[in-house]
Amino acid sequence: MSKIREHITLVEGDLDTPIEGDLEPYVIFTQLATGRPYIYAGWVDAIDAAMAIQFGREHYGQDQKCVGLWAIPKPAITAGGAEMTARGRYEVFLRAESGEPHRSAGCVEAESSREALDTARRDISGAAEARSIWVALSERIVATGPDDVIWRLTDQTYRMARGYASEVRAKWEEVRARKDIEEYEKDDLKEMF
Amino acid sequence: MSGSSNVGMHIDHVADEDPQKLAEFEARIDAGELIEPDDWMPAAYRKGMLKMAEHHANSEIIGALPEGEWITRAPSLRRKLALTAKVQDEIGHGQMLYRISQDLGKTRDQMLRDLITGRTKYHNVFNYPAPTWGDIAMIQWLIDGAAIMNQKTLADGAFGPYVRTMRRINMEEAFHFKSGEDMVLTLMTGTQRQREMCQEAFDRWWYPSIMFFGPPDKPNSEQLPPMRWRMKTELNDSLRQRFVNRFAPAALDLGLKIHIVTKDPDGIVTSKTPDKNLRLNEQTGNWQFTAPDWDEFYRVIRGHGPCNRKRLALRRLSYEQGRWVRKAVLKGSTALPPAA
Ligand SMILES: [Fe+2]
Ligand SMILES: [Fe+2]
Repeated sequence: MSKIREHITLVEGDLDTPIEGDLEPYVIFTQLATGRPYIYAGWVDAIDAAMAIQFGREHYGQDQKCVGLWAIPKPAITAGGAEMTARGRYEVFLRAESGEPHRSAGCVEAESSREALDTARRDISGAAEARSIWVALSERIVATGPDDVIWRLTDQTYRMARGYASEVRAKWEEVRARKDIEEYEKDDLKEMF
Repeated sequence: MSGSSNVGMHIDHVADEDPQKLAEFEARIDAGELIEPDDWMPAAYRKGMLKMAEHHANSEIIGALPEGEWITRAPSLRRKLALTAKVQDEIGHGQMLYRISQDLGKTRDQMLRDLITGRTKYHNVFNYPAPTWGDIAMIQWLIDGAAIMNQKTLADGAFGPYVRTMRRINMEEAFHFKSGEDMVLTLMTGTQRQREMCQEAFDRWWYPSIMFFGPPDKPNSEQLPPMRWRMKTELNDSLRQRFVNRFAPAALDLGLKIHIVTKDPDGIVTSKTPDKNLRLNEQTGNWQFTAPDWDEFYRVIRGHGPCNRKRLALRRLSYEQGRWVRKAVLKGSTALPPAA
C-alpha cells in the first residue's frame, strides 16, 4: 500500500465535483467526576446526536478521565442573541472568568430562552457576575448513560506524556553518565596497557 | 504537531473601522481580555484569525500524512500503538481548528477544497521527506517540540476559541514530544546502525526545525497587527533562539553532531560540514548557530520542496476517494462504494 501511495500523481486544477456542504455542529461538554458540572470541551461535526456522542467520546473523552458527556446542537444554545420561544426546562452554563470554558450551573423553568437567561441571572448562583451565560433546552441535550464506559478500560499510558517520563529520565541519565565517563577517560593512556 | 507562525499575515486597513470601537477593542486586548466570536472585532482581525486557524488546521492534517505512512512499519507494538494515537490526535487537532474557522465564516468543505487545489497553504515543514524510522523519531522530538514552544505562546493570545483549543492541544503535544524524546534516546543508546540512522535523520530535520518558526522578524513586527492584537505573542527569532538553546545542547549530549547540509531535490543530504558557528555564548547565555538558508525556505513555500506535490496528491486522492462516504452520510442515502 505504502509504495503505491508514495507515487500518486497530483491532479492539478479545480475539482469537478460540486461543493458538498458541512455536517451539523454539536457542542460537547464533559463531566470529569459524578456529581460535578459538565464543562465545555469543544465541538464536533456530526450527522446526528448519536454520531456526535460517538465522536465526542473519541475526541474529548480520552484526554482526561471522564464519566459523562453531553452533546447539544449548536443552534440550540442561546447566548442572548437569537431567541427561542419554547417552554420548558433550560440548562444554564456559566463562564466565570474571561477565557474560561462554560460550566453547567443548574436549571431554570422558562417560557423562552430570553426568560431563561433573565431567570438564571436572578436564581443561579454566580450567574449575575458571570462573563457569559448560555442556556439550552434540556430536552435538546443528548447524554451518555450512567453505565456507559467512556474512559479507556485498558492501559493506554502509551498515549500520555507520563507514560514515558520515567523511562526518558533513566535514558538521559545513562546518556549523560556515558558522556561524563568518556570525558574522564579522555586522557587515559589506553595504549600503555 | 504544527503551529502556524509561518503563515504570511499581511493585515492592514483598519482605516474604515469605527475609531471608537477600535480603541475599545485594543484596550481590551491590552488589558489581557479574551475576544469571543460574538464580540465586536475589526474585520481585519476576523479575517486574520480565520486565515491563521485555517492554516493551522491544514498543517495538522497534512502533517499527519508522513507519520501515517509509518504506522504499518513501526518497530514494535508499543510504538505502533503510540504512533496510531499520535496520528489520531493530529487529525483531531485539525478538526478542532477547522471548527474555529467554520465559526469565523468559512465552510469546512470549502477549506478542504482550497487546501487540495493549492489556494491555501499548510506549514512548510511538512514538505520534507521521512524516509526512515529515524525521521519519525526526529519529527516527534524536534517538530512536536518546536510546536509545543510555539503553541504555548499562542495559548497566551487574545482570541478565546483559539486560546482554549491551544490549551487542549498542548496536553496531547506533550505526549508526542515525550514519546519522540524516548524514540531518539532509544536509537542513540542502541546499535551503531541505529545511531547512524538517527544522525542522518537529524541532519535532514535540524534546519527545517530552525526554520519552523518562520522567517526573521521585521524591525516593526511588534507594532504590526498580529502581535499588536495578540494573535501571536512572541517574535519568530526569539522563539527560534529559545528552541536552539534547548535542543542544541540536548543533541550534543545525545552524541549527535550538528551539521550544515546540502540536499538534493528529494531532500536527501548530499554533503555536510560541522556548524563551526555553533557554540554557547557565555555572555548572553544563547547558543549561536549558522542562520538557515532562507532562499530554500521561500523556494519550498512556493511549492518547490521535496514533497509538496506528494502531500497534496495524497490529500486530494483521500478527498476524492472519500466522497461516496460523505455523500452517504450527508444524504443519509444508501450510496455504495464505487465498483473497483
Ligand atoms: Fe503533535
Ligand atoms: Fe498537533
